[in-house]
Amino acid sequence: MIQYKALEMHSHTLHSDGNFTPEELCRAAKQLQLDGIALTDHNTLSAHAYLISHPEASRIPVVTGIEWTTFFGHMLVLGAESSIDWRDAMPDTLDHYLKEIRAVNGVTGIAHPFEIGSPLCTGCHWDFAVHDWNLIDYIEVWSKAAPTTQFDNIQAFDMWTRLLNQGYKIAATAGRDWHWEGPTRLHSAATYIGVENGEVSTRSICDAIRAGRTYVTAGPVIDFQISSGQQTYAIGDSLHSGSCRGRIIVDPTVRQEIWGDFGIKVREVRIVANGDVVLSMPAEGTQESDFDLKLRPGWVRAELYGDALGETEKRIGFTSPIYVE
Amino acid sequence: MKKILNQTLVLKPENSKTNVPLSFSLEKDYERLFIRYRYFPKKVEDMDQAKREILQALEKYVPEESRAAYSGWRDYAPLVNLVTLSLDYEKEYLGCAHRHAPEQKHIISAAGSSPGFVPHPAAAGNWKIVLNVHAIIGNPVTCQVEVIGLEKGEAPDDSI
Repeated sequence: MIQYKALEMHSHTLHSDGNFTPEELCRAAKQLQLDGIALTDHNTLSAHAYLISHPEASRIPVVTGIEWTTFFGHMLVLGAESSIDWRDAMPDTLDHYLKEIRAVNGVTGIAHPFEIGSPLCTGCHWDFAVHDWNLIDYIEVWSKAAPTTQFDNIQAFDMWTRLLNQGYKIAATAGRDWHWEGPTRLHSAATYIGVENGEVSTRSICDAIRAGRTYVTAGPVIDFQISSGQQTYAIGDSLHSGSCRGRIIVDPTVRQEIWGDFGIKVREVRIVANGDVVLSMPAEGTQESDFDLKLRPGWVRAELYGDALGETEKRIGFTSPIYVE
Repeated sequence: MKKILNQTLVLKPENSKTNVPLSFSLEKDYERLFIRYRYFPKKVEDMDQAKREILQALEKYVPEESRAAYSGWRDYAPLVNLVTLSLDYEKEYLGCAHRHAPEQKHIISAAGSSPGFVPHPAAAGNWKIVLNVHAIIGNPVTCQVEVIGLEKGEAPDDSI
């Protein structure tokens, strides 16, 4: 049985340029009521080596990861069973390395593709030419704290939508790019990932991302399903085109003490197919809606809109797609 | 204690976004390797150039409709050079010290390595430091790299 768990998918320690020790990072994640973190230090796995030799340090499940911090883009690599050299990747040769990562069971995600780049932050903007987008497993569509306010997240969301419209199956994640915890608590989104029996591990998270079982939210949890005939299809699944019945549940009661102080309120649920809004429903509080859909080949996802951080009509959550054959 | 490598390089803007390998061999096992590297200047002192580069970057990366919130170029000053150091033993990647400090000291040993590097014996064989030249902006940057082999009981000499 698939259960969705809340994760922070992009974090750093003092093994690269973060301020956290691995223990402090795990403790901070626990305080945010997360079910796991992907520890993705820049160009090193040494924090993971530390956690293996100090298992008492990780108070929550830690997904093995690294952030390829290249000169031409930053890329999150999770679960690779051996190290692939990040230093040789050139703007036009990335596909070769993506295949190598996949050959050692790693999954790859593009980090903050539209962050301000060189010379302010070399490589922070995605400049790689990807020739086969089937080699990309996910895109960090939301980056940084307070993600609803960032211009580059809108660009990343549009990039992800364009790729879905071209027929690629790519999951979405959020990543705080968490380097330290300041004196003021900031709003951070969570990536919910659907894992077998609720077990969070490097392998289960990689499997779930490959299967597209993710959604991103600034607060409320989401359950989005489509029924066709006797079958029910969930996020990441594929169904045949035609008439079907959709169901969405939005629940603002989960982890509310973590995000409730940031003025997040769902006002509207949209169902978006192949980039077009096909249904819009007003929402308030816990929302449970059933609706009819007629789907053409492509994809369909749910999106939440409402108030966040003092602004209105903001996108405050979205699922990875259910695909339509 | 034996000095294994002592190299000074001058890095120019055209070296940005390149990797500079520095190979060395250990003829015998040591208890620990001590690596120090530093580069200077860290900051781009020419504020006119910094302003020009920052404004160009904001224009390139920030969409016009969002640019008003990013018009304060001083928020991004000073511009800094960035060189990180990664390390390999034979064909094994040991890690990287991806930090902004322009002077760093690292220990590599089986008992434990500095953050960024996995524990690894200071073993005889072929080693490779790779300087990851992320950004050199404006004037040339001088980069010094030293590697010392330490026997049991020896401590790195801070005056090195």
